Amino acid sequence: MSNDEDTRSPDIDKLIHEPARLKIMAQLYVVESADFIFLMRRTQLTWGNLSSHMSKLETAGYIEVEKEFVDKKPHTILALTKKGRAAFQSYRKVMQQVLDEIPE
Amino acid sequence: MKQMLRMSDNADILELEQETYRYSMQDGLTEIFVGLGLIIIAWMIESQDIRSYGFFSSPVIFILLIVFRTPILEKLRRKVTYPRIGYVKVRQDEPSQPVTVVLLFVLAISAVVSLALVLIPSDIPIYDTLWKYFQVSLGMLMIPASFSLVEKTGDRRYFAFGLLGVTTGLIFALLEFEPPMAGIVLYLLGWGVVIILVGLTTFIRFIRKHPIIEPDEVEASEQ
Repeated sequence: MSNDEDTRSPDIDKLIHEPARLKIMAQLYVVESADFIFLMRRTQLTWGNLSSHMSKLETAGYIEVEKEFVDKKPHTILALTKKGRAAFQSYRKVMQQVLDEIPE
Repeated sequence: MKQMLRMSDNADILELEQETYRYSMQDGLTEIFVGLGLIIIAWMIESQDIRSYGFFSSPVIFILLIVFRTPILEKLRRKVTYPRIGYVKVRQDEPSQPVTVVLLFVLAISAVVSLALVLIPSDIPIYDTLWKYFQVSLGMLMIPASFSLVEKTGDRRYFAFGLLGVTTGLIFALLEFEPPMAGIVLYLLGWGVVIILVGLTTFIRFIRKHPIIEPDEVEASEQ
């Protein structure tokens, strides 16, 4: 391994690094589960935006989606998977490392 | 970039967790149930006479409140809260070390004072002294409760709640009541009514502030 590779910053998870998805991941990280309305309110994202980011995170296996019916209306509950939680923790660690490398 | 820096910081994750807890509890329903619980305890203490209606019914109602509090709260939130601010299940962590230390400290003081009350000879009947001391103990129990609330919400104003609990407990203990247990009944009743009023005010403000969101409507407006 060359010296160059040793000092190189670790890879940043691009999927989480996108601001909207970072908001979603951070919000889901601090709770057990939440629904679409909660995430819309907390992240200030529109329904369409949220849906699209959710699909990407679900495809990556970072979140799990559970659909149920409440009073005959669809209700979607979302939660971070173990993989998602680990990915977010690792993202935070990497970002912290990157920040530490920035000179004062 | 600033947001990304924030999310990598432990302090900001804690802040987000506390903000989320405050957000999920803004309907005031928990306060209403806590206030109800205190009023029922006051009723239980008041109903010492076996011939009174409350002697049997107050403990039954109290047990029912304890057992069914969570499912009733959940049902109410499904009807009122979640359609307005969304559903969230907050993480139920074990009490932290500082809260446990405060709780143990308060319990240790209570144990020492209780022992002293029994052992030190006095002209005042032990029964009267214990009722007075019970008020102060209840007030002291509000201290770990307020510590726990400050930790969960990040709102330091809850310390005032603990301090008020102890202060009012001490004031009630210094006043003379006949019979002596009337002091503790009034103390619990007073706190119960205040907490219910706080809960009701919060609930009304919540209903006014947050209209119901129909997911279908939001979805349709996006297309």
